[in-house]
Amino acid sequence: MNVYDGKSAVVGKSTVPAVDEKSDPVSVTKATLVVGIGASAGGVEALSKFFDAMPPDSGAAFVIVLHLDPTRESQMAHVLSSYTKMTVVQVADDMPIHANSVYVIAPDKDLTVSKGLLQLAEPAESRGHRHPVDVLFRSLAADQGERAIAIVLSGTGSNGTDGLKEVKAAGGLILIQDPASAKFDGMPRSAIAAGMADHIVAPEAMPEILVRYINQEYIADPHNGETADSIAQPTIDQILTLLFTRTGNDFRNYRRSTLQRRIQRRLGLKNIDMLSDYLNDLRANAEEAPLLVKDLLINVTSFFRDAEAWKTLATLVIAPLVGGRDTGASIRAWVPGCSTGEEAYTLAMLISEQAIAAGKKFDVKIFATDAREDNLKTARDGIYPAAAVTGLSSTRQRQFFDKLDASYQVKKEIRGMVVFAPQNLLRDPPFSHLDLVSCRNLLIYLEPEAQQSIIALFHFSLEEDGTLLLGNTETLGRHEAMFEIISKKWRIFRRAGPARLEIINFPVLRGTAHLSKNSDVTTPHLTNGISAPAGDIARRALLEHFAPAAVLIDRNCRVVYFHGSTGNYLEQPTGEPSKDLFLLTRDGLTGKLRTAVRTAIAENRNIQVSVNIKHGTTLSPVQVTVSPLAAGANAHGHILISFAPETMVNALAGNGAPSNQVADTTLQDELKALRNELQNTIEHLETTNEELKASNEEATSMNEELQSTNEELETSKEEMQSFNEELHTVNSQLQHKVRELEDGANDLTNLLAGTESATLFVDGKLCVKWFSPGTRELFDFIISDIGRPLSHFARKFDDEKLLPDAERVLSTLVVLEAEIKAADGRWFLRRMLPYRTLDNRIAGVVITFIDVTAHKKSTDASNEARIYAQAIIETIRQPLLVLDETMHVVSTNTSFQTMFEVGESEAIGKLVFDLAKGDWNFPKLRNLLSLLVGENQHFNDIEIEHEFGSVGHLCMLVNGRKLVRGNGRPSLVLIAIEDITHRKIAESALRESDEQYRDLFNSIDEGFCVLEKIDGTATTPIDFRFVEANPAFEKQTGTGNVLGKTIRETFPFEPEDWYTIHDHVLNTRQPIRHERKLESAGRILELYEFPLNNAKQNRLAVIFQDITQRKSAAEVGLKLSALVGSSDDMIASIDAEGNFTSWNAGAERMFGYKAEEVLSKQSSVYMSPGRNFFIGDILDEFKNGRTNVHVEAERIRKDGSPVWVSATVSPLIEKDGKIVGASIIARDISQRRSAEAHREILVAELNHRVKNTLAIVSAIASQTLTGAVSVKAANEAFSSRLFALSRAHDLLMHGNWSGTDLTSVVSTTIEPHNSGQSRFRVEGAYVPLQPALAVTFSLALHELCTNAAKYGALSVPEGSVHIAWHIHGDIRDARLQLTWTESGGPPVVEPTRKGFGSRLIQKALAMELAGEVRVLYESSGVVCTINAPLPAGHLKVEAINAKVPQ
Amino acid sequence: MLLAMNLEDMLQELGHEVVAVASRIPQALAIAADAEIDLAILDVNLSGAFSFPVADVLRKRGILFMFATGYGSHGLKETFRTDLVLAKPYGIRELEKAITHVVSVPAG
Repeated sequence: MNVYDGKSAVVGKSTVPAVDEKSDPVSVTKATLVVGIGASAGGVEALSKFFDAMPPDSGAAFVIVLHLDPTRESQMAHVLSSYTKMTVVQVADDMPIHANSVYVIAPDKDLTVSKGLLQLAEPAESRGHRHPVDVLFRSLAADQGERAIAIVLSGTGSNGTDGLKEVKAAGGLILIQDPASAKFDGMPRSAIAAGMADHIVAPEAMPEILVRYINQEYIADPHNGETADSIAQPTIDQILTLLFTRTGNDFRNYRRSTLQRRIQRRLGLKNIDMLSDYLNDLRANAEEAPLLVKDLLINVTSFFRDAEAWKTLATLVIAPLVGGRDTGASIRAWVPGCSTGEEAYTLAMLISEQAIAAGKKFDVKIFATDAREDNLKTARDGIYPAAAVTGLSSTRQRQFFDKLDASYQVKKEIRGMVVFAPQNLLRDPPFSHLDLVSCRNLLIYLEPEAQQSIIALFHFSLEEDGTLLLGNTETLGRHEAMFEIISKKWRIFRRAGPARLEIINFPVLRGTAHLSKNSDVTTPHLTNGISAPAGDIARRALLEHFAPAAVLIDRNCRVVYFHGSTGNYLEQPTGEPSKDLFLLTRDGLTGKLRTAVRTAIAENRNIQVSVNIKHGTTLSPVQVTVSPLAAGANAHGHILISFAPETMVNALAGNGAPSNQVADTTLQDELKALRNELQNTIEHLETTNEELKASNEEATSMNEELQSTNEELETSKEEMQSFNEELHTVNSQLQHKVRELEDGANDLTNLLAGTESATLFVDGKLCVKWFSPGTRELFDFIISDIGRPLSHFARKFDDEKLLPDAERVLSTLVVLEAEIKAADGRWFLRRMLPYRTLDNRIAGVVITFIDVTAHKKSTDASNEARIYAQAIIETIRQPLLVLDETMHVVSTNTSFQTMFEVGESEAIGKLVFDLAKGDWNFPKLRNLLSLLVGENQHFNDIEIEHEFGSVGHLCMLVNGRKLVRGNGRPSLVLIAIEDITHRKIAESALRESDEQYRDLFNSIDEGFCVLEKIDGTATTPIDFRFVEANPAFEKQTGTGNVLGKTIRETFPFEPEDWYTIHDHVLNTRQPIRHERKLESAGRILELYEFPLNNAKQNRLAVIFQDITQRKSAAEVGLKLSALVGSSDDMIASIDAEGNFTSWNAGAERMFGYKAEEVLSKQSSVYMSPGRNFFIGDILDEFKNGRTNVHVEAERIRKDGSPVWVSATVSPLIEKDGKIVGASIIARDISQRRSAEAHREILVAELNHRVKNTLAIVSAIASQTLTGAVSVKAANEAFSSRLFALSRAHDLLMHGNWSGTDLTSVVSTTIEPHNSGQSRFRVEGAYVPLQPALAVTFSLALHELCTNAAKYGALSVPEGSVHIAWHIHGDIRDARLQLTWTESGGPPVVEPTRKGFGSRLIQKALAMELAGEVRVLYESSGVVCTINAPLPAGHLKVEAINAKVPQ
Repeated sequence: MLLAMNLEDMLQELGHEVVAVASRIPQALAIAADAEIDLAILDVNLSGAFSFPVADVLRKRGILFMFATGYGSHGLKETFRTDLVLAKPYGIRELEKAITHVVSVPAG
């Protein structure tokens, strides 16, 4: 039962599935998930990003703890509400938590979560030492258990890390802001360094993870793991097996429910639904197994965890222990499952404290064991993040820790007390002779069986009175009796009773297969309260009532089982309890029983013996039956011995009356029995004798053996001793080496610190192995960063290639160097070389950073200076020449090469005097240069004129310097040459022009003076002094000798505005041109004043001229030009060459040319030569004495149209009689000329018309008279026809003979026949008619009317005529359709003879129209239809239709 | 066209046969181009258009023709100024004289 099955298992505190047994599941608020957020500096920004991305309906509540100023009201809730749609409130005490709400801590409070309520408390710690985030997280872990979610955002310090441990232990989710995204990365990095993070992401990425996680089964149904146990079991087993084979960690003794939940949590994080899927993932993904192990084995230890427990331990256990021992004694303790060592160190500290208090010193040995080597390494180093020690008093911090930047290391004395060793509690042998075992919070994770075997182990390990310390919720279980209770609350126990070796089962069968529990022969499961069927119960009752007392033994005669009351036969002797049957038997029984047993075994049959057992003085006969049991499934050759009192046997045998015979028989029987027994005893004695003899022999040989063994042992002992000696030697050597190593390490550390070179070792995976203090200028390292990948660290320098280079060094083993720039502006030389171990293995990369800022700066500076100098030399326009001491050219600049046309290559190395074929070889230069070389001199601005063969005469300014160089190098000579040839020329030119200007000043006709302003004072107004005045000044003003005088002195009566104008010019710096009258001289001056740019800017110059005469002449001119300008006639003038010199507006209108187009151009171009108007000829005529010429001629305007002009040309004659040009006055006579032409055309046309009309009249007369019946009728017809013709002509006259239209023709023609009544109905569109057609139409209609009046509709009063026409067809093919329809008249018949009328209508009209005309004599009246084409393009249908008459 | 009708009467009275009467240039051109005629009398103005193209065709065919106009000979195109002009108004005697004159003068 309490035998552990021997399977290997990893047990250690760190290697324990984290579960908080204390958390009360009832208090877990299932409705609302609470997310705790801790932030500090830079937190608002992170929060805003977080809430921006967080959906408002996630169902979670957010509780935010920030470091707020305790003295001020917080606006935090208000600020955050602008980033989320959730309700944001500042927390009040006992506020219930609702889903989808945000709660912000109030200033100066601690905030906790408990049973769905938010609670505020006064902070326990003083300001500055508070960790409100830890407080929140702890309460979250306690309240929410595995549903707890904690988020750490930007902030400084380590606030939150401690609280996260509880969350982690509870199985909650932890999100940490990626330090790269945090404004202040202290809090995130502290949490990450402590290994708390489930996710390290930017705040904006957190919501997605959260939402996914919230919807997971692990969270949605936290206890599902247990209900689904039966189904999940096989898969869980598979997972555990996989973990065992992959990582060597065996969790099979761990609590199923816990494992279940932890694996579910993993599923949650991985977003996997099915356990089987997860198993596949685990198989496929090599990285997942270690992660799961890490999740299952969570470090939940800390210094002085449960401080009260330790305090109790110190008082009740350690203090008495220390008190009871002397200085120098040893104290041994064991901390199994020590994880990262905190518990062991805590114990060491406590003992140390008590020892110091008691003034004693002990040899303290604390064995701290754990299954995980990496944990042990951390524990041995004893370096912990600051967060780990924040809970300790400052005394303890000082006393037990050394501060290393951000971390703390346990002091060496304490570390010396603790020995860390790998050990597996369930597998390896335990330590012994211990005073104290502290095994806290370990057993709870194991299955009860494993727990019990471990408790037994502890019992064995502890000394008598040794103390066992367990976790708060752990119990001793079945082994309670083996311990006394010291403190029930804190689970402190004292070992009681002797060592019980039989209950200990050292697991020696490492790694063997699972053994069946039934193989344990010493513990048959007979008395277990296993439920049995009724038959069994009955059987057992019978056995108890009727079966004799019995005992079951094995073949070694050890009692296995007692049945019934065996007290009469067996008895425990004094001393330790024994199972040996023959030690237990009462007097008298032993001998016979031994014989019986041996016989029974030997013969394998039941043996019955009667024995008298002595009870005090009485003998009671007992029948003993020894029955060997058949070896079978359950019994391995056991033997049952039953005892029955003789009386009972006798009673059973029958109760006959005693008689002598019977008595004899009985006696004989007894005798027989006694003889048998004697015989038996003798035999037994003999046998025993034999055996003894054999035993003796055996003993003797064994003795021999033992003696030889002893010999061997002696030898071994000696060997051991020598070996021990050796070990001592080796040990001292080792210690020596260690000291040397420490010295070496010290030297190295000091060396590296001393050189200030930043050195960094990284391993083959580019994780930090070691770094020198100097590297902190380049990386944010803290001691605990060792082992972390280099890529995780923020760099304070710019180096993209750091990691690629490191990888390159690893792969190629080359040494790489690069220059990098740090953020603070310094430059480093970064060297990388492979890290070679002594056995020449490459174990990483050594990176050194050497500060080369100064070197870099000086290099840069010299480079810059060189470039600067180079640029100056190349840019400078003066030729430069550098020579060595021997006058050979060292270098020249571009300017030199250009100026002297000497190529650089041909100059360098040459003797200067040989340059340009000896051009440079002249005495003055030689003297100068020899001076320079000889006496270390320099010379400036020596003017040299020289005739160079290549570039001609040059005048130069030459400067020379000797450049003395250090280090004994030969000096150089620098020659700078300035070409001043042009300057010289310019100077002389300037002098010349100065003189010219002076001449000009003196000789010009205009007056010129320079005035200097004299500022006014309170009493005197401003004035101007004449500084210069030219001779013409007097001529122009009538006043001379003004130099040095002021204006007021010279011209005292002039008005004030003279001064104002001068002043204005000075102030505005703008020239002014104006005219003024100089009152004193009565002259009008035209002045041009302009400021002079002298230093004081108080001078101006005035140029002026007397324009009095010009003024009066100009006035006359103005009047004349007004006349010329307003004239409609052309008034122009030409010069002697025929070029226009003036051109007035009238000319512009007449010819269309503008003055500027014409002036100074040859007049003939515009006056159309080739007709009869030659200006040149006219000018010649003037020379011959003609005074003026009058011509009429046609000219061409600018637009090409002709214009008739009548022109008068007069010569312009100067006073000396010379003809200098001519004036032209011309008038447009085009209108007159065209009126004359028009008149001629009209006369001709009239003649034609008259003749044509006469021809028509003649034709009418001829036609009328030809068919006339009487003179009277002919006369009437003729006159009425002439009348119709005349009316047609009237109509045409109105249209100015250009034609008329059909409507007019119709209405005019029918009018005489209408006689005031409405006999006609006329309908028709507008159709234009040419004159000839109009006439024909008129005559034709007249004939129809006449005929109607004589014979047709118009002959009776009620008759009427309908004339209608319309146009059909399109524009290209328009036709006129006209119908004349008579009605209401007398019936008509077709006339037998066709007179003039019908011929006119049917022939002449049809011909004229080129159409058809038909006359039908219907009985209702005459119908005449005309159908004729209209001339194409002559009309527009639209236009016609638009003009339909009303 | 009244004039044409009258002219037709007069020509018939003088014993000539009137082959065709045209009131439009296209019509006249067609007749001039292929009618069997001895003499053509062309009004210079035919419905607003000059009849010179017709005269050109006639001249090419060598058919005698004369112009009837109220303008007199200076109203004709230069090329036709030498041809006979029948000045309006004219009576049957003037017509007869003109025809006699045209026929008697050899064409060319």
